[in-house]
Amino acid sequence: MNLDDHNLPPESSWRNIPQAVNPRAMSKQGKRRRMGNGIRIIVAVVSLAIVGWITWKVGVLLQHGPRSSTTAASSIPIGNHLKLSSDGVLDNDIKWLSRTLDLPDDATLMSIDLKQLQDRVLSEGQVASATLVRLFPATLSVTLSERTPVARIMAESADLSSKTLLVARDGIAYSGLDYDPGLLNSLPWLDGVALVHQGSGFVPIKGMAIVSDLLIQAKLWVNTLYQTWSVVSLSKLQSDGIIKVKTKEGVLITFGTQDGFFRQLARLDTLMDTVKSGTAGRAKLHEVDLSLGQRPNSLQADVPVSLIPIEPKDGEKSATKTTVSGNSSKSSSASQGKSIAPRALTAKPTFNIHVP
Amino acid sequence: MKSKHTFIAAVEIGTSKITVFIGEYSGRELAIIGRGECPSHGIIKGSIVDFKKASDATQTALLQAQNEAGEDIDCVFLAQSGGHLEGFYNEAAVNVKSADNMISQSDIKTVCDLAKAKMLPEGRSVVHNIQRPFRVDGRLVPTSPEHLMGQRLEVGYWTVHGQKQRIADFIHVIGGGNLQVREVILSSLASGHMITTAEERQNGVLAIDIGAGTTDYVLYKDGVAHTTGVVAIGGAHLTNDLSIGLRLTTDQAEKLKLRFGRAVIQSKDKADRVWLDGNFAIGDRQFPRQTIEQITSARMWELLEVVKKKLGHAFTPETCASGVVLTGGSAKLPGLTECASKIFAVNAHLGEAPSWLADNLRDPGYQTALGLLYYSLSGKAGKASASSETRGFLGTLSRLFSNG
Repeated sequence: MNLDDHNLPPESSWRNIPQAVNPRAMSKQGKRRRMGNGIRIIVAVVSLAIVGWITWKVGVLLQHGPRSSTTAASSIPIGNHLKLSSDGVLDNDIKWLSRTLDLPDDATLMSIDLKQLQDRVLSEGQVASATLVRLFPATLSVTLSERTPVARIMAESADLSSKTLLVARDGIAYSGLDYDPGLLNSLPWLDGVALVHQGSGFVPIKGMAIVSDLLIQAKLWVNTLYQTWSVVSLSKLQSDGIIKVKTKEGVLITFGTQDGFFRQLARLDTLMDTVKSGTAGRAKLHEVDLSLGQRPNSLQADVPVSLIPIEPKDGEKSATKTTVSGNSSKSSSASQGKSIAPRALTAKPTFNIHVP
Repeated sequence: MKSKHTFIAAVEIGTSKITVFIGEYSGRELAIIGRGECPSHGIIKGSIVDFKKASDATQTALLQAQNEAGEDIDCVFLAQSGGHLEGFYNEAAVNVKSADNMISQSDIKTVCDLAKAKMLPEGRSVVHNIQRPFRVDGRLVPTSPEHLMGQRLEVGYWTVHGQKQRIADFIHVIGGGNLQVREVILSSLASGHMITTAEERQNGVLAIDIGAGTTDYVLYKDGVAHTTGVVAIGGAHLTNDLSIGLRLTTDQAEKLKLRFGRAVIQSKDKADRVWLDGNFAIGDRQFPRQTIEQITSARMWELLEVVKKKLGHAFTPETCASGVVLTGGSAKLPGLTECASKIFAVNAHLGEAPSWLADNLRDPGYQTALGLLYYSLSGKAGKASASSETRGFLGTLSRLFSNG
């Protein structure tokens, strides 16, 4: 007898008995095998899908030819296929990018010089770094990292017209684009520096890193006072290590670079509160020098301030000079406090531009 | 190329035990790589009466074999036994269509279809259609009669069928392990092929597999299975008779049967008594040896008489030249061959496992499961002559067992 000889009538064979068993009647082994079979089926289906997808991709590639990408890239003009992403205000400003790159109408991805285009983008001082990538078949992708302005400066061009520039932490001065006017107006002016031309830009301003630290910390910790700062002078920064700040009210504040800015700002804040509370009498703060630093025993030194009398009202005595030290203040004669003659800082600074 | 191999489980769900062998079929040869064995539960007289217990026991044996093999089972060849199985013979004849009387493939197909076309009663399923040799104008043709000359072509089929629900129970026990039954094979055919040779089958031989709950038999003539049958009596009935007759528990009766049971009465001394346990412990009792032998022999004689009666005219000593071959767990009963010889009036002997078989697989109780693996091999190998099948199979297993 051979099994192939069965050839049974289909309706009467044992083969017509359904072999499927209700899962509840299955043994643990059966359920385990069932789960294993299910996993195998899923893996097989996923594998087939992956193989199918790869086959389809290869088919498409072969259909269009292996050189289709480069061929298309050399024939399709870039035109408006520009993509710009930035961490600053220039994000998605395609018009600026198009203007800066100044690509010919028939420029294609294969015809452009990326290094040259990168130089063009970097010629804009606002751009700290730029990455240009070809996205085939016809898109040029530009990714920027922008500088952040910390101050502004008035420059005088060759035709004697003045122009406002922004200064970043690294001392680069540039004319900013797309910035919020409110933000620009809140930036203090720089004084006591000379801008020197270099190519299409300027030589980086020395000491801007220190000044930036001061401005950033002031904005962070004493923003109310920072809002009143009008001019920051760097004229004594290199020689004496001091930064002078002129407020909109005309108060001259001197910061030293030897001591930490945080401590000086704290002392200034305390001082201003003291003056504002009127404990120093009816006098207007004229000058504050925070650059003298600390005593050797780390105790805080008296802050030399200079007050100018306010016109007394009827029946009131005028306060002459007041020395304010630390958290205490007392009214005294002029001989009791140090007086520092205010340096003249103009409200609107002027600058000399040296052309090398 | 391990992935191309098929791992086949041969499962025999018997009344006393469940046996599983796992064979690794490589396309050319079969290697037995795992064996599992578990006491049977929930099965009485070859029928499943408690699905949960039967399923658990079967899965235990399958798991044991699978762990030994270290491979997952791909498909199952299942042995089928039980008193519900019956058989009938049906034959058909056609006149050869061709004008030149040459038998064509169409004639062969027509006569085969006619011979198998007999309807079954409701609720019955065919297990096997065993084809007997063709006859061309009364001339016996053991192989295909195609291109032979003749006017009349005849063929007959021995159809084995059983209750659909009982067969389904066995299939669902395997399905409970989320395994597919590839083939259902009559137990007697599986064991018969293991204990008889092609020459014996050609000369005529009766193979009797006496299990615990059932006795399966197959009568071979002209090299093919002529008649099969199942009697729902087995070794467990001997135990039961002893238990009732001597008022013993089943375990005690089983112990006595194995130690003192005989198929023919040997003891002449009525005073000869044997101990139940023989350890002189409290509760140990003595029983007359002759009584034990009378009980076991009476039941065994009755069993073989039933087999002979069911065979009817199909069995005659003249057409069964190779005698009777006995196997199965209960075939180890002393005196059984003598008993069979007297009843069938032919030579009888115990079926011997092939010499190349490993010692731990030579037990008569394994012959059915090993026979299932034989059928799995023949099914894969396609049609082949009986002699070449045997040679190929023996060769395959010889290589297997010679390696370890």
